[in-house]
Amino acid sequence: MRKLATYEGVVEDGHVTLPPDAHLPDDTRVYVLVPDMDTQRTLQILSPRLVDQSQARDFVKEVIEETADASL
Amino acid sequence: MPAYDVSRFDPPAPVARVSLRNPESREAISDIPMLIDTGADMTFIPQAAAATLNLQQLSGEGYKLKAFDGSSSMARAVRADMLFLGRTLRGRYLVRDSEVGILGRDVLNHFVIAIDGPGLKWQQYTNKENQ
Repeated sequence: MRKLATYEGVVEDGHVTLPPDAHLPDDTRVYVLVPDMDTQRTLQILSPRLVDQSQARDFVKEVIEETADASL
Repeated sequence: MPAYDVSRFDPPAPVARVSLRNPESREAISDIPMLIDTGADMTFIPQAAAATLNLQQLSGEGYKLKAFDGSSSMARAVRADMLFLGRTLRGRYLVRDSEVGILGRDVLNHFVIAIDGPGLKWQQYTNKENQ
């Protein structure tokens, strides 16, 4: 069974600061839970375009397989 | 009929689910969310999917991009197979660090797709006279 340790920290200038007694070795994988935060999260995608339109030829696709069932 | 994504986009947006495959290893993953974006020149796959499939970045400096708000960025390309609506499209794809990819016109122009905004769904248009 994996052990779980929890610490309370604060975000300062975009970095999470942990309490002094939290001695975590480098490369420790951590997960951040944020209580009481407005969870509304929407993506904004800004329709990227190539600055050099001549590069569009690099992205021509080859249709290599077709199946009779075209449904998802 | 695939539904719009109402949880990640406001207003809701048409999102397709595609499969990606490494052309060399043939390893594949499915159910990758991709925004249907006719304003995007190119198709972008999520970085996590590219990493999972170990898609090798193509050499070169990458591609300079401009968004409609005027912001600029660079993107690297990988070679992959995309399985979508019964076709496998092999070629070069850009990579972006996001949970949702973008289906741009390099892929969308292979299909006839009907967007039902009021119904919050989309589907492949199958009127044979228009194929």
